[in-house]
Order: sequence, then C-alpha cells, then structure tokens
Amino acid sequence: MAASRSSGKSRSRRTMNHQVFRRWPRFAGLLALLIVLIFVWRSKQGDIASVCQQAGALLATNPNRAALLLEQVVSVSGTDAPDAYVLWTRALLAAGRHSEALGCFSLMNNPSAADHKMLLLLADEAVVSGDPLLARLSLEAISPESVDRPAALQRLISLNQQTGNATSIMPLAQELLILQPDNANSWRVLAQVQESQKELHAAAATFQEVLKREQVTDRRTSALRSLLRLQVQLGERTAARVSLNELTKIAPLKTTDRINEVLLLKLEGEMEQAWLKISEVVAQSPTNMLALETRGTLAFSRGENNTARKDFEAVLRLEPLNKQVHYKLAQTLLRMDNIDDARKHLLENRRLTEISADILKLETAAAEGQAEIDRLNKLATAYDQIGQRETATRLREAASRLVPVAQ
Amino acid sequence: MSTKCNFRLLTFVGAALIAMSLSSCERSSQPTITDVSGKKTPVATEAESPSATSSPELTRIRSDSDWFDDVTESTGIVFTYRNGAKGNQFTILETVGGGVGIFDFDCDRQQDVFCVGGGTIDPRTATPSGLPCHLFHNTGDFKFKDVTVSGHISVDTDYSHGCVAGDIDNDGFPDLFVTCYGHSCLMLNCGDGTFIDMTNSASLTDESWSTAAAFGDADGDGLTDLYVTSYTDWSPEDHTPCGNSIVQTIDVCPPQNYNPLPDRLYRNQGNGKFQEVSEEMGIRNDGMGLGVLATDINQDGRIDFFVANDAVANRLYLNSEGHSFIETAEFAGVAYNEGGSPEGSMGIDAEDIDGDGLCELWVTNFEMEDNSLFQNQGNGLFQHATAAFGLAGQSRINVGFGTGLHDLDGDSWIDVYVLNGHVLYNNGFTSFRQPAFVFRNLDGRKFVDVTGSSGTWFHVPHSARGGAVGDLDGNGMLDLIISSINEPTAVLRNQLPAKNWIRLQLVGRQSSRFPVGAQVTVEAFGHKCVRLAKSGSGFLSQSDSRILFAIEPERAEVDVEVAWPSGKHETFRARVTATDHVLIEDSGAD
Repeated sequence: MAASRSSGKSRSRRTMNHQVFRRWPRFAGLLALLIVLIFVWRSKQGDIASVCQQAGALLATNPNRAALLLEQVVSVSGTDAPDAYVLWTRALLAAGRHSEALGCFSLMNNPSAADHKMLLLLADEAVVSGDPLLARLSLEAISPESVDRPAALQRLISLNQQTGNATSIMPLAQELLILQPDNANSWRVLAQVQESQKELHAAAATFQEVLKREQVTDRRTSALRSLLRLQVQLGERTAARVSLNELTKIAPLKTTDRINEVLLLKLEGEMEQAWLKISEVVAQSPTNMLALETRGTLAFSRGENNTARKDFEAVLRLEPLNKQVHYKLAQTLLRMDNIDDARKHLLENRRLTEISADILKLETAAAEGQAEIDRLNKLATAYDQIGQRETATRLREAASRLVPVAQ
Repeated sequence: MSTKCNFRLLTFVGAALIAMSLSSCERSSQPTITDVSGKKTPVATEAESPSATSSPELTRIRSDSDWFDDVTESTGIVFTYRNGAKGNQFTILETVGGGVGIFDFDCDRQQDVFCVGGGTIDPRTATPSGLPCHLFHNTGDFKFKDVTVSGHISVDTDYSHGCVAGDIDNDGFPDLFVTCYGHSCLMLNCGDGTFIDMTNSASLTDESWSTAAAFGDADGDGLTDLYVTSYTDWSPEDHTPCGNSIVQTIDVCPPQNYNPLPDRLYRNQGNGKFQEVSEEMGIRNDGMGLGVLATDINQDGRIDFFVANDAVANRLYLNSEGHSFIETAEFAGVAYNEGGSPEGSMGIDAEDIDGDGLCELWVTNFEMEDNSLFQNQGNGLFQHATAAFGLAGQSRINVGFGTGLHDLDGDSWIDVYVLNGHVLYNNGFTSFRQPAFVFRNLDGRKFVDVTGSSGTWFHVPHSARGGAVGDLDGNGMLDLIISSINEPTAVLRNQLPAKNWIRLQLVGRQSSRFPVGAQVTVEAFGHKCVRLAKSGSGFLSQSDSRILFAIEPERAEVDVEVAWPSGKHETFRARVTATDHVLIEDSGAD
C-alpha cells in the first residue's frame, strides 16, 4: 500500500515537472516581458528624474526652457509624474505664465500625490508671484495626514488673512492647534486670528496659553505685549497690571508698552500718574501719534485745553481721517468757545462714524456671486474713505478674484 | 457638563477652548436641539424655580455686613419676567427684558411694587403675546400681597417691557404707563385701590414697539406729559434669526439689522386725552431708544429729556421755553463715547455726583464699551469722566442694563449700581447671565467697587434688566428690586445701619402735582447735596420718587431749598425726624 502510494506520488511529480517544462517557454516569455517593462519603467523614471533635475536647475535662469522640458516629460508619463507636474507649474510661474501655471496644476488628477515639500515651495512662489489661488490649491493639496500639513495650514492662514477670507481662517487655526497642541506657535497663530476677528476675550485667553508653552524670551515678550494690549482693551485692570509687571521684568518697555501703561493707569483711575507718564512718553517720542492723542485726551480731562488742542491738531495733520481725534478736537474747541471750527470737526466725526457703521454692516453681510463682489467693492470704497488704503486694496483684489467664479 | 459644552469642544472651537477655564462651560450650560441639518442650536432655557438664583454656596458666604440681603422668598413677591425664549425663535424682542416699579399706589405711605410681565413668543410664527403684570401691595415689615386682581391691573396687555408712574390727572394718586410691543397701556389710578385702562380714551393708540417712558410737564402747563421711546421695526412677519459666527449657532439679530422707530412725545390735554406732538416739539425720529430720563438738566426750571439710544447717538433735548426742544447731545458731549462713537446705551440716570450742584448724566452700555459718566461742566457742556471717576473698564466685558444713581450707604454721596446680562444666548466667551456691580462714591471724587460686600445676589451672574430703588420698609435706607429675564424678581433689603435722614415728598401746585424737574438742595456733611425729581431713571423701571437725604447724626433741623419747575424757589425748614415730609409748593419761604 505504502509502496504503491509512493510510486503514485512520484508519478504525479513527474507529470507536474513535465507540464512545467512544457510551459517553460511561455513563463520565460512573460518573465522577460516583465523584466523589460520594469527596465523601461525604471529607465523612464530615471529619465523623468534626470529631466526634472535638469529642469529644476534651469528654473531660475531659463524657466521657459525648464517648462518645455517638463512638458515633454509629462506628455510621456501622463499623470504618473505628479512631481513633474508641480515642477512644470513652478517653471511656468517663474516664466510669468500665470494662467498656464494654474491650468497645468489643474491638470493633475491627484495633486496630493506630489511631494508635499515641493507643494509648499510652489505655494510660496505663487504668493510671491501674486497668485494666491494657485498658492491655495497647492496648499490644500497637502493632506491632513501629512507631516507638512502644519506648515501648509500656517501658510493658508496667512494667505486667507491677506485675501480677506476671514471666515475660513478660524477652522484652519483650530486644525493647526489640534495637530500641534503643545506648540506655542499654534496657539500664537490662533490668538492672532482671534484678535484679528475681534474676539478679544478668546485672544487674551489664547495668549495666556502661548505664555505657558513659549520658552524663547523674544517670543514670550511678544506674546506678553499682545496680552497686555488686549487686557487693557478689555478693561481687565488687575490682569493687565500683572502682565505689565512681568513684561517689565523681562524686557525694556517699548513706546507702545508705555502707552499701554498710561492707558492702564487711566483704567485704574490714576489720572495724575497717567498724565506724568504720558508726558514722559511724548517727550521721548514726540511724533508718536497714539502718544499725542493719549496726552491730548488726558490734557482735555485736566482742562488743559491748549495742550489738548495742539496734540489733536498734530495728530490730524498726519492722520486727517482719524475719527476719534476729530471728535476730541471738537470737544476741546467747544470748550474754548470756537464753535465754528468745532462744528466742522463734529461733522467730520459724524461722516466717518456713518462710514464705520456702513463698514460694520457690510462686514457682517457676506453674500455669494455678484452680490459678494459688490459687497467687497463697497467695503473697499468705505475703507478708502476712512484712509485704510491697504485694506481697501486687499478687498478689491479679493473681489477681482471672485469674478471668474461669478461668471 | 452639558451637551452644549461638548458640542462646542468637538465640533467647532476645538482644542483652543479646551484650555480655557471651566467657567466658560458652566456659563454656557444650555441644552441644545439639533435641527434637520444636524446643526445644534442652543435652546434658551427659562428658569422656572425661585431657587434658581440661590445655591448652598450662597448661604455659606452670606454676611450681615453685606449691603443687601436677598429677602425675596419671605416678601411674598413671587414673580418672574418671561421673555418668550421658550419659543426658540431668537427674536430681538427677547433681548430687551422688563422693568419693575416702586411707587405708593394707594397713598398709604408704603411703597408698593409693580412687576412688568413680559410675554411669550409663538414657536412657529414668532408672534409675541403678553403675560400679565402684577401689583404687590406693601403690607409692612417687608411683606407684600399680590393685589393684581383686586386692583384691576389690566391682565391683557401686549408683550410688555417697562413701567413708569406719574400723576396725569393731578389727583395725588400715581397712574401707570406700561410700555409694550404693540399697544402700550395707560392705567388711571382711581384712588380706591383700583386702576382703569384708559389707553384708547387717552388716544395713546400707537401700536409699534415702545420701550422706555418718562412723565414730565414738557410745556409748563402744569399737566404731566409723556415721552415714549421706540426701538426698531422688527416684526414677526419678517423675522429671521441671525447666525452667530463665534459659536456657529443661530441667535438674535443685532439692532443694526432693523430700522429705528420714532420716539413719541404726547401732550396732556387735561381732558383725559393726549396728543402726539413729537414733530412740532423737535423730537427726532432716528433713535433706537431704550432709556429716557425727564428732569431739569440745565437748571433753567423746565424739564429736559435725555434719551439713551442703542447703537446710535444719544439725544439730549433741552426745553426751549416749553414751546419746543433743541437737541444738543453732540455739542454737549453726551451723544457718544469719549472717542466720538455711538454706543449701545440702555440704562440712564442723572444726579449730582461730585457735589458741585450740577447734575451728571449716566448711561449703561453694551459690552466692550465703558458705561458713560458725563460730568456736567456747567456751561452746557459735559465731559466724559468715566475714567476719572474710576469706572473705566469696570464693567466693560458686560452688557449693562439697569442702573441707578442713589445714596445706597447713607453717606450723602451718590453711589451707583449696574445690572448686566448679555443679549445673545450664547456668545462664546461671555455668558447670557452676567454679574451685577455696586460702586461706592468716595466723597464725590471716585467710585470704588463694593460688589464683594453687596450681598449674595451680587455673587452670581444674572440675566438682569430693570432695577428699581426705594425705601420699602421706611427705615431711611434704600432697598432694591431687580427684574431679570426668566429669573425670579429679586427683593434686596438694604441692611446697612440706618443713619439720620429726612425724606421729602414734593407736591406741586403751579407745577404739576408730582413736579418732575424740581431740584432739592440740602447742606449736609459739609457739602451741598442736590437731588432731582425725575422720571424714567434706570432701565424700564420706576423708582421711589421720594427724595431722601442723609443728615449728620447731631443735626435736628435742616433747611431744604426747592427749585420748582414753575420757576419758584422756596426754602423749607424741616425737622430731622426720620419720617416723610410733604413739601407743598407755595408753602415755603421765598
């Protein structure tokens, strides 16, 4: 039984070997084909890498040539070479061919497959080239799982701040914080976003978190300055005094700190001390507009009308659209029985107040499509009218970028 | 911790808020509902139980040295102002809240209490309906009896906000005007413990949204006229709640989303009828009024009106010979804050704070705005003096409503209380319920925060709105009644030791019977103490109209100077007897 079983096995093995030998040429052929394919693919990859390297070297000196080389690469490799696409986009951007760059990037099926560091580089270059849409697309391609996501988020936040896209900033800052909860910078970014969105309570609390984590003295000082400023704005006199004391220990006070100290003294009702301090500040920084306005305000409350008038007029010479100084000067002039001039400044304050109210309404009335373009343009005009040209320009840029979407 | 808190942590604010204080979670401990889109929305809760404002901790920290003792439960005043939040419609109507009145309706020399009812909001249509107001009769010893039914207090008022008492028929019995969304209500005091609704017969048929009101003889004819502020043109038909970008929920819309409604000045024609004379008397139509004060601000013997507007400039109407009013707020320096910007002004009052004989003006404001103390310079100009008096920043993070300038500690100097509460149900960082404050005046130079020793009620946040001050037990110390949204009305007994005092009830003859605009001066504690007869002070509330002076312990007599609205100046010699003195015009020495 055992023998017959053994002989059976042996027969079976022989049969199998016989079949393998009979099919060997077919296997060999397939194997050879595979080897050839791998070889071709490898050499193609090698070629792609080599051409990419060559194009990369040409980016700075001859971006058009680099773009041509890379166009050839992607025409051969199709969508298999995302890095080549990114490089091609960079080359087109460097050559000033912005629409082609955007079109090239849009051709990629899956931009997330590209090297994320390269995407960051592209985003930086796009920002420099004034192409925030390309920058945004590039940064958004960096997936949430990527180690480069925090860097992408920081750039996206900065980009959105520049383009006035306020609503999308907060979620980005929060995502950054979730990714890097122990990183002081993540908290700093969130605090700055909160402050820019006028969430002053939240910003102050977040700056406290920065201070818990920040070890670098300069950055601690900066965070403390921001915190002090916010606490003064919030009227938190006790907390502000603590911050000021700490700041005094670790850094010499800047002019802005000293003005905040004066405002804190005012909050504390210590008007005489505030007056002495602001007099020192103005003596040392006689052209600081905020210092002059603060001294003018304190002089007015002391009944020193000439000083108040002089300070307010000095501010208005450089900041003719400073609403509150128009009002303060008007009050001073009224007290000096100069009714006609006071009326002019009251009217200017009223005009600027109405514009500010319009701004408030427009800022809280986000729309879509053409209505949003109109809103942004109206907002830009309003900001122009109160002398905030940079904001106006930024808003107009944001409106102009919305045109293709609206069409 | 609440579902709401978890929602915030998980879905929106993220890790940023994790590190924030636990108190922010406690503050927002509202339940949530989930709408069809899956978005959670806070449900504004209404505190049902009188015990909602007290806790074991409060019992522990109560002190006999506190300025005020919360005696609500023993008084018999069981009342809660409802704003209709249960309708979950997030209307701006809900933000205003209600007031409370302290006045002696039956002339038994004990101050009674009137509580404004508020209303409900239909959960489908956002249509408001009124809830009944209640009248509590002071039976002595800090006990009150609900006499709403026997007093025939109109129970079918519209959604109500404020109340003001004044004698429109000069019969000596205070009549009552209740402001409403819809028909406001004028109730004539019959003198027999009952009131009759004479709104329609008096031609007070305005159906818009009235908030605050003040009585005063605007044209000098000896009859009490009526000023009523109006808020916005919100209506349930056009109602859409607003998104709250901070916490990504829906909430009430700001007033800027609506158009202002015109204030109205009604002339008392003396025949039981009123005639609207707003336009001819120079009253503007572009305010969003939440407070109005009637008194003689520029000491010319005629009453003026100071109007606290929300989000737009305040108005100061100076009386021009009784023929019209000249609006001077901007020139006078009381229209705006220190930087020339309009504020969200709510509560309002006027008194001489610095002892110079001139009345300062005071308004409570929205968050991130200091409450504004406008110091009278005596030449028609005022100076923003909040910081100089130590009040800057003190309440800046809160939304200020009820307030009052009164000598709460009996030292002859005017102190101030400020009631706070947010208008948004969920504001992200600050809460719907906010702490109230009491500031003590130090010799007319500066205020110091004495909230810590003001009593247990002040130790927890409230959604407070109107407050009224009056001597409810006749001991010469001023007590406080506070109306909060969906919280029991609180009765706070002043438990500071009573000192030597006199209290004056002015009775006009040529002037109107209750002579709003009269100015009373007494020399005490080494300085001139000036007090004003006024109407509309506070927020939507009526305080005890008697005028109280603290007097040095050794004094037995004082000279009381009265400048009547008729123009007559008289001096009365009063014995310091810890009782009320009735000073009748034309019966003093010239």
